[in-house]
Amino acid sequence: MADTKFHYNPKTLRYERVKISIFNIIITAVSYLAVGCIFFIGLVLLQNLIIETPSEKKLRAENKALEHHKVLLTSQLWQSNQQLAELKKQDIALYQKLFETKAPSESSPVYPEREELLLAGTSDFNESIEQLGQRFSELIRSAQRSSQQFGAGVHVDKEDVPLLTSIPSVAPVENFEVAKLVSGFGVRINPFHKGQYHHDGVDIASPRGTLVLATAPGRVILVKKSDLVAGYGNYVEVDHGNGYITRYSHLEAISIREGQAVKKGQALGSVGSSGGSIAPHLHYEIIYEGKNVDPVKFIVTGIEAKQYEVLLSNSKKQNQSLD
Amino acid sequence: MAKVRYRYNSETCKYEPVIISPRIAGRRLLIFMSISFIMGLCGLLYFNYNFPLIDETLQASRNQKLKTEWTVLYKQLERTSRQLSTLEHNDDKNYRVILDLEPLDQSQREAGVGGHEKESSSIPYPLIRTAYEQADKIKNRLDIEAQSLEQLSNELTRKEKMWASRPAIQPVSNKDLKHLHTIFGLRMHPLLGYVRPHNGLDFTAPQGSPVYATGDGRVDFAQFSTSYGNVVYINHGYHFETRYAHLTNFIVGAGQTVKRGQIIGYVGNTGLSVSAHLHYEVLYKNSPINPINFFQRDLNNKEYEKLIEVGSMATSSLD
Repeated sequence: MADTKFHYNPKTLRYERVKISIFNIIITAVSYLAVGCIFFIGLVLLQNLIIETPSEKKLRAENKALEHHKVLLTSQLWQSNQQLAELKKQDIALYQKLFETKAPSESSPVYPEREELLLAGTSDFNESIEQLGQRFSELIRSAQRSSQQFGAGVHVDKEDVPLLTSIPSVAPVENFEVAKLVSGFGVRINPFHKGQYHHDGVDIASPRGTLVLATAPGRVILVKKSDLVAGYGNYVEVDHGNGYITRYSHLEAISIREGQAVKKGQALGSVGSSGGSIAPHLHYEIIYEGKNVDPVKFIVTGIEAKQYEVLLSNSKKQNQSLD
Repeated sequence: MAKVRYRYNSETCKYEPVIISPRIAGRRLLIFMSISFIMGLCGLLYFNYNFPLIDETLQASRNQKLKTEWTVLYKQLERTSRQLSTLEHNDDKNYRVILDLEPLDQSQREAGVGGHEKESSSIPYPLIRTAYEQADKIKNRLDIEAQSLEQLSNELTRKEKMWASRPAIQPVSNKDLKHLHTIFGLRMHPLLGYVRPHNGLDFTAPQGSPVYATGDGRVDFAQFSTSYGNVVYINHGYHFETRYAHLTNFIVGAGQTVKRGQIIGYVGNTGLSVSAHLHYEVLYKNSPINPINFFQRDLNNKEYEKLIEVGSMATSSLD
């Protein structure tokens, strides 16, 4: 072999054949690979720098637009939220002026969206977890309350059935919602002279023309029409027997006659603002054995437990009545 | 020091040191580089064949992240819209009902949306375009709700003024009041001795007890008349007028504005009167109505109704 190489060994004083060890081969291979890798990386970078594929171009443009408009939209949304907060304040001010009482605070705190949680940092995340925890214990508490209120066993005797049916247990207007009960039974503020007086019924705000319904079967014992801009205005009284009488006042129109028998849920007339009233509403009273009682305690049929709680707390606010 | 390498020269039969000339070294380097380059190139081709371009991958993952952020943006838009809906609902279902105004319908609430060509409508990405549409819609609804709340607030101010003007209290305090003669209508006049309408109520109270305006208004008339004695007329607007007669003296003048509860004069016995009392009248659309309906001091509705009935019975009164 012409190319065989030797080197001089000073110890043996002889020329010795250079052995090609595995180590040498590996070194050579690694150096090829290393430089090859450098070339590879360089080429990739070069390629990225020079070549732009259509899909990359599209993505790049889209990302740019997404980023740009995200900033714009976020600031627009921020402005809108500022305006919304301003409007909320006005809304609360209006409420306070209208009802002479504090507006209900926003009962449910704002919970973050699932997607927001994904983006949130750990501190935000912990906070959210805490909120969820609170919400959970709230739910537990409310469940316990409900079961206390409604869990008690009820036993009804056969003889009690007519008594039960004569109890005015439903809402006296069509499309009743708990939010419509704007003033309850008890000491309230008179809208005209702003003094306190005893409000003998509940005020249910409803648009003019909303049907007023009998809350239990009975007989109409009084139909009174009055042009006077004070007092009950046009009103109806229904006797349900067993000591229950209901009174529906400030009506716009009355659609029944005195002495007429009415069924539960039958229309008696429509909501108005006759008599001493500042707004279209039904002033509804329940008289049991000659005494006015709190009608909220009777409006129980067709209302969920949670809604009823809202109704009850609404009715306890010492606000302004609609008279 | 690198070991010197030797080569055996069969011609000279000697070991000769291998001399690497720069040319040979250059050639070797070139070969080394070429092979490495080819390896690198092969790697690149293999990589391109099997994986997407790095930049593209980066952009794609950026895209993914941005889209998640946009999802959040959408959720925020939704939340704002929901909170706005609550306000609108309050407005329509509570305030507008109580203030006796028509609720705004959906078309009024969404007025102005999509009318003029917006620059955002030329954005080729539906994700962005839709978000702008929603954001603009919210902006519009906010403006409309702002106007609406202003209208409600103005209406409430107007009504508050109306409610404040309504005669709503007793003109004489309960602590001064000795007796309330709830006679309204025809009755025998105690001095004249014949039946004539009694158009008000009589509040018996010691001479000099204060007389209060029963609602906000403007004094129309404050003079002496032979029958009423010293009398004050207050115009409350909204078709209401009140009259306070037989005063010892009045302390307001015609044209003066008065507030509910303001003292306008003092109980007396002037004019056609037999003892110190206030004769109080309420007129609605120029005709007298029973004042019993226009105050309520520690009275519940039931007693109130009783008084109205008693008041309509004709008996004797003081003036």
